[in-house]
Amino acid sequence: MTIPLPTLGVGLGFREPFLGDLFLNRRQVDFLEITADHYLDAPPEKEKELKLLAAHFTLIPHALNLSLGSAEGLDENYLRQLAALIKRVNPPWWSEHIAFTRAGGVDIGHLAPLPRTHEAVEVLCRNIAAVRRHLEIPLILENITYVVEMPGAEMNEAEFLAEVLQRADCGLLLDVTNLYTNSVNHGYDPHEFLARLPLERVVQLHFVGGHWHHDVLIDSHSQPTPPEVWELMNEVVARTPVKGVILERDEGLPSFAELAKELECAREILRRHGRWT
Amino acid sequence: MEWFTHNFIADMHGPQFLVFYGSVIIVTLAACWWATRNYDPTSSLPPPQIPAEPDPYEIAYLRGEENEVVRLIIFSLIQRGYLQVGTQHVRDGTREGQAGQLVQPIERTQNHPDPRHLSPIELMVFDWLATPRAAGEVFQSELPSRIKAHCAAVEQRLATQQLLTPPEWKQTAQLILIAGALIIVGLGGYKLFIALGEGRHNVGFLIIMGLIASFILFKTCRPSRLSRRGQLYLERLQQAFEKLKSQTAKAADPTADPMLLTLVGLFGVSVLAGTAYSSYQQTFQRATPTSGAWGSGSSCGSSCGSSSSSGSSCGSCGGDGGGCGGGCGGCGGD
Amino acid sequence: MDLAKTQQILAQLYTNSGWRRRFFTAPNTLGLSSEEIDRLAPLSAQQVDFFAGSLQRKRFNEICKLLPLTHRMVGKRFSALFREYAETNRMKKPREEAQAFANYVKKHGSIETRWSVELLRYETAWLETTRPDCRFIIRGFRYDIKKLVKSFLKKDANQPTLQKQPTLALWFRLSRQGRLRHLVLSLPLWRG
Repeated sequence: MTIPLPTLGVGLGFREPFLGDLFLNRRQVDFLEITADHYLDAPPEKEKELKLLAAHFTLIPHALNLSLGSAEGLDENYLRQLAALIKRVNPPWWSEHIAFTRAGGVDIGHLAPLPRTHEAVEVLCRNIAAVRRHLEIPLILENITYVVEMPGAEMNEAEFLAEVLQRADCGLLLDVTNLYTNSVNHGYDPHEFLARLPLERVVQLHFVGGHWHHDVLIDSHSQPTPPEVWELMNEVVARTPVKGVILERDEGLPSFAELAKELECAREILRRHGRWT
Repeated sequence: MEWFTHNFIADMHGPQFLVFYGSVIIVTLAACWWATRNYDPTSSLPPPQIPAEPDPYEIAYLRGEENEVVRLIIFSLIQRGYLQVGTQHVRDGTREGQAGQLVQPIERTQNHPDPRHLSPIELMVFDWLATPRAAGEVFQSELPSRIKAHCAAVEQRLATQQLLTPPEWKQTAQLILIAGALIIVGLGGYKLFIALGEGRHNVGFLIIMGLIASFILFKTCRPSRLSRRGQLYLERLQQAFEKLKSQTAKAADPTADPMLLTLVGLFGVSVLAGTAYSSYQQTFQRATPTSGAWGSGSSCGSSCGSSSSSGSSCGSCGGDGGGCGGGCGGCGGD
Repeated sequence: MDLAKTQQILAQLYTNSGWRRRFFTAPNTLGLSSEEIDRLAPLSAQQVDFFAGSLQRKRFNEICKLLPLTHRMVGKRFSALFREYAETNRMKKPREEAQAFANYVKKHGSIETRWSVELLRYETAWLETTRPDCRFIIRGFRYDIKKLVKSFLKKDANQPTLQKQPTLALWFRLSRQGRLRHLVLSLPLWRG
């Protein structure tokens, strides 16, 4: 990716319940990430909400159901709607996932991991090329958490990510929480993982906290960010000029003041490494 | 003069004419409504940005001029301990047909803070309430007009931002209204004249149609105080802070909630229903006619009016026990 | 085996409990080739079950958010009913899923009381208003539906206050982008 991208700072994944607080605390939120799917096929109230947000914040659309990893190709109708939305919002970049969400007419309903094979890389590249015929705005790709280990892997997770980003020439939305979650659940060192990633491709970060369920760490997006994730964020920001950092709190929404504290911690990390003034 | 008493309108039979008249009314009302809505010179202007620190008094003035500002000031003084809704009922003789009704007055608190901390406009209201007064008295007194004089600077600011209907547009809109009325009343009046001249007295329906149409024309096509830009701005403000209404109602200590003043300025005293200030809300809702024949949005609160989008990012897995671990979206929950 | 086929099998594994059970116990009965079976045999049944369970819970949580009245009304049977529904119905978009499940509850949920049916109908009407092209909805009710909802939502109300009052509920927008307005008109109280 050679297009220079603006540095946006620290922001929030937009959630309806704190719309009012957002406007009362605008100075604490540099930009917003919106879930693109919430504004597709949406009632007028959501349209107005989008206009309201777009008039006051830089918005980064984050899509869920494009299913870039689907070998059977993209849903053209969904792609057209998504492209129209993204063009309207006109963000500096937008994001999707290295995953698939449907196959054989079945909607899985969530992000499912891909087998780490060269064929999967080819499929991703092909689909991303198809997206680019509709949209020139830069796409960045997010790493997902996974429980199911796909058999027949031809490379490890870090190699797979690096290969996809290199071949598709995309930026990376590095979800440091997902990285930490996977490292805990699958027993690897997240710092070694980072060392094998093309960090120069990192455009944006996601962070938040999950919770433990027996011996499995769940990326529930429901808790404050744990120290391990802050540490990973610090390492990434030290090594590469990240353009934006998003707190992705979904569940168990605390007071806005609590969220603002986390935003300030993230901002402090950016400042410490000269990434934000 | 033959043409005056014999033309296609004059010669139309009653039922035929009523259908024709009805069609003319509908077209006239639609045209006038469309013209007054779409020819507002501010229609193409985007509304201003929502300020980082909204001024509750300015918002109240935008929404309802001096009457709303008075309500807000009194509420602010109650919230800060200067005033209270009294427990000793007094007779309210201000409303026709309800003379002598017992109401709770607005009065000073026993140990109120020092009034020197009040702004001039707040002090004016505080001084006016030297004795307990029924809420209805507020709007029948000189207080609102004195408040309005104090709000001249706000009025000017709103006008500069083109949030109020410009005077030249008001005149144009009034001309449209007059033109519409001339068509409706003129046509109906002409036919009435012809009918009466011919000795026909079954003109009741014609008169009723004309009156109703004129009423609708006046109600829907009268230029509003706010310009289109002002209406959009107010809608935006209300949209932005709508969710805070329910949060504030549940707040443990609403006396300490600074947002409450902004919400009252933005939505009126109805936001106080179910809070520690509901007596104030009831007092002022009785004092003036309620506006709006119908509500918008959910009538059953947050339980209904659900939207197709959830609050989750990538769609939380969330649940009772266990979790997923697939992608961003927050999975699992005990 | 190509990726497309692999993904089709995975999609079934994640969303179809019967198919998943058979895959891990008797894969030969599923009409898959030996190559397909061998390729995915190393999959951990535990991991697949875990993921499938979380997908089900996510689907269920979405429904709970979209049908809170129905959830409260049906009570403990709600999750069991949803499990039955999910076994035989593929996942849809949230609004469509909620409407489909509401219909399922009406048919199979043993909703015996008239007022329960009316609450269900009222809630699904609200769901319909979230369609982008929805301009006008009208529904008739036997009870004053606003009072019914209010009394039902009171914390200690097991049985809401019922008054037979023929009621019309309207939802409409004056323009395509206009605000949704809701009007409930009840006839005077009828002691029928």
